[in-house]
Amino acid sequence: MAVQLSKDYNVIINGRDTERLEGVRNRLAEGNHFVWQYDLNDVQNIEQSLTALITDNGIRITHFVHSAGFMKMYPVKMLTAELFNSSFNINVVSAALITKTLTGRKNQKALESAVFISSNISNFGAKAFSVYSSAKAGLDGLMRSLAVELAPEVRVNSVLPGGVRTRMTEHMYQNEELISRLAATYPLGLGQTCDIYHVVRFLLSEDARWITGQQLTVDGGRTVNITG
Amino acid sequence: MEGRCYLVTGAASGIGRATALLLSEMGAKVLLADIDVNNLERVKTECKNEADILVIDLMDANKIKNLIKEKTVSFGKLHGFVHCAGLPYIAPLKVVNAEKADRIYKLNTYAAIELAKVCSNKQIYAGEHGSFVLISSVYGLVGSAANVGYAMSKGAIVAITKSLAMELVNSGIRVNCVAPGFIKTPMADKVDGMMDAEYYDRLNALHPMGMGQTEDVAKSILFLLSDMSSWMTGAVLNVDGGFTAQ
Repeated sequence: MAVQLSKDYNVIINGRDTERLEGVRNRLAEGNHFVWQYDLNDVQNIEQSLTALITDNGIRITHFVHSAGFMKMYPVKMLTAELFNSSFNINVVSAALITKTLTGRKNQKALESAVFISSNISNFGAKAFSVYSSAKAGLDGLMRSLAVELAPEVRVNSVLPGGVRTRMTEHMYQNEELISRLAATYPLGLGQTCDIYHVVRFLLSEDARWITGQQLTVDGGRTVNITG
Repeated sequence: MEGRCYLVTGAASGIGRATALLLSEMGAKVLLADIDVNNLERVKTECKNEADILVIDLMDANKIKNLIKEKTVSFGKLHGFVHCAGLPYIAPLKVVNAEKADRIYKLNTYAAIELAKVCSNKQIYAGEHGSFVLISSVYGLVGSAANVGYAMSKGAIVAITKSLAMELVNSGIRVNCVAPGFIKTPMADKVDGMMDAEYYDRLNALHPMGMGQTEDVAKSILFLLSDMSSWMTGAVLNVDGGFTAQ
């Protein structure tokens, strides 16, 4: 997403791992880009850290894509408060606090459009997905309330991808039997990151000027499909 | 969108007109369909790219196939269609009648099915980049009084979108729908005459971003017709200034 967006926008890339961030930094198109190395699980200092980045560099941030998240499956008997804390911190609380910072005075209230990467599980259920799905549903709840509260200055929407091959899901792709079983449930087949990027780009753009507070499912028809 | 051909119903005015003009501007060939021949001719002259007109009564389902088939012989095969033609039906329950409801259903709803049947036919479908876009409404998703006939016609579009998406996936055709909020169009003006200022203010307040324009919907239709949405099928895209987020 960042690599594609860097062709048209100056981007600030956030992540925990300095080495991987540098790897992405090197793939960005020419531009005035920044690296914000920060672990979003540490929600106490998000506002302070992001504000420092903005003021130290004299920038204003107009668009925000929240892709941070982790997907691990936990059956009910493995659930702990810590799992929910970190899942909600990374998915929901950080999205709220970043949006708060970008609509604040230090950023000259410059935010125009935010897109949260949710999941097509947000409106459905699956075994061992309670940690992940509740955080994504929470993220979509946040999205709708922010959209109403921040209108008309800021638009806020969610993209709900289905199964896409990324570093987060790579472990699943090592299991051929699992992947072929999964792929059979996707009428348009499994997705690629560019499928999601194009939709995010549309929602960020002025072409989506009157779209706010919406969940946009991009999953090759997976959640529409009840063919037996 | 160069090299692509699309049928746009309701192209003489409102969202249909805005969509036809945007597609044309993006390089597509458009077949403008409507019952209003005078305005169709006018929209044709406004198109930036090649365009043709098809005068058609979409309530007459039995004639749809032959009229489109005849036209595409000269116009070229279609990559998809957008069904924007529609009529409002604001009426309290006690005055709703079967005859009027049937007309609304025929135009707003059944015509979409017939168009999908015709446009997925091998003699008419161009065979690649297939995408059909149907127009629902926020009133197909949420309740409002004195609107049962229109809600029926637009709620069904959501179900039709999903079923067609599954049925046409093997033909390589995607099917999605747009559900607009309240937009200033000639159709809305017809409704306006029936509303007092207070109702209008209330309607405006239902949209956190204010009421929309036809171009707002046209841009989302373009997105769904284009390859930018190539992994989306069976989706409902609400373009409503936040109406359904509340």
